[in-house]
Amino acid sequence: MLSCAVFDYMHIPCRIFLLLIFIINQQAPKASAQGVLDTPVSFSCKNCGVIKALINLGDSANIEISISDHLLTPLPNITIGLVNTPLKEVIKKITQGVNAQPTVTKRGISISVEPLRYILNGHLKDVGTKEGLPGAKVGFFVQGIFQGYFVTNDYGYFSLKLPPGTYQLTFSYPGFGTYVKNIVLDRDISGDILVSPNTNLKEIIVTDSLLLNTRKYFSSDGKTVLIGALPEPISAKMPGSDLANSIAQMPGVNTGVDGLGGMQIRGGNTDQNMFLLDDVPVYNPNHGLGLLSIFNSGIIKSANIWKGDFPSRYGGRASSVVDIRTRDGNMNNLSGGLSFNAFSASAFLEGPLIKEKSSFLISARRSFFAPLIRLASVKNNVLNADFRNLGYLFYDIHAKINYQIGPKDRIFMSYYKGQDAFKAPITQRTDAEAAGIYFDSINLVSQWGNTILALRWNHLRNEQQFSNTTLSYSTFHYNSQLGLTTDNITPDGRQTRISNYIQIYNTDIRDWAVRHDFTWFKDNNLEFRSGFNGIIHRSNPGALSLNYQIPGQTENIIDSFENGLRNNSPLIAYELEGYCGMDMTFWKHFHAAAGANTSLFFINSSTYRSFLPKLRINYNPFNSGLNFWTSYNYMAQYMHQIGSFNIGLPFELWVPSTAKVKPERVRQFSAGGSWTNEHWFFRSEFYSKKLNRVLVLLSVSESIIEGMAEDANGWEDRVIAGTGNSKGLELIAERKMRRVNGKISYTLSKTDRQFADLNNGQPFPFQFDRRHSIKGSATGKIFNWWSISIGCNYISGNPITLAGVKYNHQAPDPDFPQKPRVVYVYSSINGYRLPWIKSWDIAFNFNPVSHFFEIKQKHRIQLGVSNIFNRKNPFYQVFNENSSKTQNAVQYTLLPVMPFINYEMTF
Amino acid sequence: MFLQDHYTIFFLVCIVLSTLQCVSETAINLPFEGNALTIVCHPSPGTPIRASLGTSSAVTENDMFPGGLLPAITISEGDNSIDVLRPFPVEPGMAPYWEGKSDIATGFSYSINVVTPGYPAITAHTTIPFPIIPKIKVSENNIPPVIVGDKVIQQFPLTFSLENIAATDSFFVFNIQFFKLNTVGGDSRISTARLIAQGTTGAYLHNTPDNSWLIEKKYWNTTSGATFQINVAVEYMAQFEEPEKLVIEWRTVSREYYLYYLSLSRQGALNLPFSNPDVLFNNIQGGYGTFSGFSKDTIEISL
Repeated sequence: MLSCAVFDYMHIPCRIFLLLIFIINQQAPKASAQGVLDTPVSFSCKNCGVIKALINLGDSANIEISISDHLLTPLPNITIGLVNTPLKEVIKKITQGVNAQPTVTKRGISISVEPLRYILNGHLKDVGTKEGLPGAKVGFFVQGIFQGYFVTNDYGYFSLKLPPGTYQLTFSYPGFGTYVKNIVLDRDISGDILVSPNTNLKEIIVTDSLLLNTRKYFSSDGKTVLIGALPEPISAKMPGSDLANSIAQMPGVNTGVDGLGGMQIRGGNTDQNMFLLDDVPVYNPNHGLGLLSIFNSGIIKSANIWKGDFPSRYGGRASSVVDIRTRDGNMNNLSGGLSFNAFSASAFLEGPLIKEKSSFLISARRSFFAPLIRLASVKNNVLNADFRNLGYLFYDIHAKINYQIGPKDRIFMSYYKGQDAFKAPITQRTDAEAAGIYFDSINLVSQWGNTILALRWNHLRNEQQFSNTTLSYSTFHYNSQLGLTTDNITPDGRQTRISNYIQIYNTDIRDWAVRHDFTWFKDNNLEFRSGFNGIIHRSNPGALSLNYQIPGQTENIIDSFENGLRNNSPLIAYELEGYCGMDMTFWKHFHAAAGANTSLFFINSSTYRSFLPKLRINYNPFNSGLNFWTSYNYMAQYMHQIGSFNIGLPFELWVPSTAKVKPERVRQFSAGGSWTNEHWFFRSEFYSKKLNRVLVLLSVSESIIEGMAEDANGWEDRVIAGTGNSKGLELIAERKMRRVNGKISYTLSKTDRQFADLNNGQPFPFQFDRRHSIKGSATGKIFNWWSISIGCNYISGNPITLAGVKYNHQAPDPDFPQKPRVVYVYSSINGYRLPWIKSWDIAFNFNPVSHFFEIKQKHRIQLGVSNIFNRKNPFYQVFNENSSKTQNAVQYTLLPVMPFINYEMTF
Repeated sequence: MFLQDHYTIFFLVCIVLSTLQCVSETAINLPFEGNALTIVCHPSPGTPIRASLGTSSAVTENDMFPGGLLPAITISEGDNSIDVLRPFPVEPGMAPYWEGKSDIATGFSYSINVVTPGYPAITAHTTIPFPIIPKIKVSENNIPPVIVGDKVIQQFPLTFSLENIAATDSFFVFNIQFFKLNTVGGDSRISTARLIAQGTTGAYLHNTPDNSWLIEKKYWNTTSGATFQINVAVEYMAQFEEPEKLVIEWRTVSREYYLYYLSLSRQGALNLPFSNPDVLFNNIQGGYGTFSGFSKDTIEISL
């Protein structure tokens, strides 16, 4: 009944689409099953030819059978005797030895013979750890001539269907070079292919661009591989390697100055990026304020990013998808690693629980900012304030076990918990001579973090059908409580409390989800994917600002408000999503990825529907290294992060779509081309993006400050929806040589927003509109154990809203004279642009190897300097009032020149 | 009070960074297009037209009161000049203003023209809207008074009812004054009334510089329909005072009035990093400020 009710809500495209998904899931494994072919017949024939037997069968079944005799002629005579056997079974017996396909026609039955094909399937795995290698390219050749290629799925599984013969198979994976294997295919072959890092066994000479392109990481479905099986190239920007930094270095990706804040991809909002950790969405992907990702790079197996044209299996976000998969754990040996630097320390350990059957992986990371803060606080006290009790801490732990139940089934259980905590009990004393002494006391306690628990089941239904089912429970919470008191002690000893203010913010999201993904490797040129996703979102957003000094806002009322906030009725939303997609190769040089995602979102009495088509076409002429593509994507989003900054800080509240806050929708068109050879890689892509119902939280009304109490119900009414446009051109040039690798990218882009309620309804530049962005990096190997990395960024400054003019507002009223209010004239939102952001970074990397206790240890020592020229990049600008009461516009810079050291060790 | 929303949290983070000596300051240049005249004038029936005049300055300048302005300020209705504003004598220390003699009427459009030597002339137009008066009643008070020492804090729920308001292009501002009776001396004293509202109402209320409250137009499109509810919190001494009455000034304001004060409210405080203030609505051609009319009514509610 529930399904019927759900069905009634759906518009026609959604219904058709879900039916299609159902058909693919249910009917895919079955052959065509027409009624005539199931008719039971009795038939016997002794030592007769196949053609004659089929003619006789037609006569006895009273049905016309047409055959392609030239395919059946070579078959030997048969002797057969069957009673009350389905017609198709009889035909199968008669045509034993060939792949005969009977189909029902208007005139009877037509028997065609398809060329015989065998299935080659299995997992591509790392020989050392037995980890599956996702996204690896499997190419197949006959006598050195390229026939086609296939990509392993998210778990390293592949399935090929080929005519009998001798093949050369190539397996290409970042960090593993290219592995070539000869296979004689004279039957169905099922088994794992094991490869080791940096293997390059040139058994045959192949001169196709596919092999030359072993380092090519832009795949035909639009994703960019951020991290393969090995850690990504060492960054010179910050200690160690971090996913946030890798993403920030991509063209089309913007972050706040010096990496602070979330990331914005192709003009989208920060909350429009979907981060998936082993198939489970993560709401807050960063520690701190965006400088580090929550994903410990030591345990990441792969990370892929789609900048808008993501496949239909991904839904829920409107701008991009970052799909992160952690390693499963070493099936053979105990191994691990550790790293530490001035900010944090981390360690991981993995190994077999049951050899070749089950393994585990556990990692932990913790920050060490607090001692640094205390050290600096003692030294710097220009504000005449006591900072000694400031504290910031983050940690994350990750645990994962997997068990191979049988050749076709494997289960994974994973747990992640990450937490950030910040406390700032600050006291400040100000001597105001005649007015006495002022004591300000600020007490902020805030904490936020994600928790994920997931159970996954990989199932191989047969050689061509793969499924994955995930059950997950995830949470994200943010809580902060800020208290401020100001006391004045006059020279005569009288104490007065001037202000007493409290502010509480709360986000509490709990998601229960079930997800099923099904992949059908129909043949080498066609792959179907379908699945569904059901999520129950329970969210509890709230904000409370109260002023104890205001009459009416007493302790009693505060308590009732606060209790109301804490016990606020949660918003329960139900999200149902179904998708269907296919990857198809046609006309040998073309590849199409097409599909659609349809979803329903229920919350209270509101229901939202989305039907989101996606199409990407690649043209890949052989032997040229060229690749051209174009794509169209339509995306929707039901969960939103809203805040006054709109830059993805955890302070901002996550809220669901409601009757007032409608889903965001984004359309993107892109087209591009690339060329590669053994040493060079060039890529260019143009995109045009239209954002609808993009959200902004209006700055808080002054009424809150002036005495209004605000409870948790007001957020919906402060959210406004508008539109956005983003266009850009991304260019990349990459050079790879034996000892030196270099990459440079340039992005030209323009992004704006338009809201009826802002800027007099006129469009204005997006907060993170960066007209020009140049990012470069190079790594040179001086010795095998010593390399040098250099990075540079030249990026247009952020647009900012500034006033150049001010005046006094004072309405004339002799009865109630007003105090003058200074009004600042902002002529346009984001009408002023901050100076260019420039930085140069350098790092020296030493990679010695040691052997202790007969175990090999690999070390990496990194010495670097970030922002080596001490460029004062504008972080934000404010007006300062100095001691002479004149106004100055002041630019604040966050990160000056900063040396760093990092040590990593793996065994 | 600089604390506002979660900007405060961000401020504290910046303070932490400053303790690490990461933050440094660099003075920057700002755009400035020269001084211009500014005017604030709200013509309203029943009171003479008054205007305060000043000049704009660069944000980095300190002097905000140039003084010595000798303007010629005329008020017109259509093409007919109906009044000339003259300087009104004020006590030392008070800001000067200019006042006319003519009365004005609802439903008419008026213009102001100011010519001052050394500055570009400014003009502006406004219309005085017809008043729309709500029915106001004090709802049954289920909120028990809170006693803090010798003070009593009491809340009175008010309901404002307006008919067919969602369909009209009307804008409203109100302020509430509380009168308390001295039971010993028998005299009345005026006192500030504070407001407490549930979140939706709070989100749509904007404080104006004269301590009035502007109701955002979108409020009337919510499920609240034409009813506006708010709690008025008042404070009096238990031993010798008791609540006497609430005096509500209800203004039906022009579109210019509404947009100006709404944009003023959305500017937020200046010293907030990453704040995204809205542009200022300005209907003064050649200068800055506001020339915007309203009509008002006063409603008394005995307590």
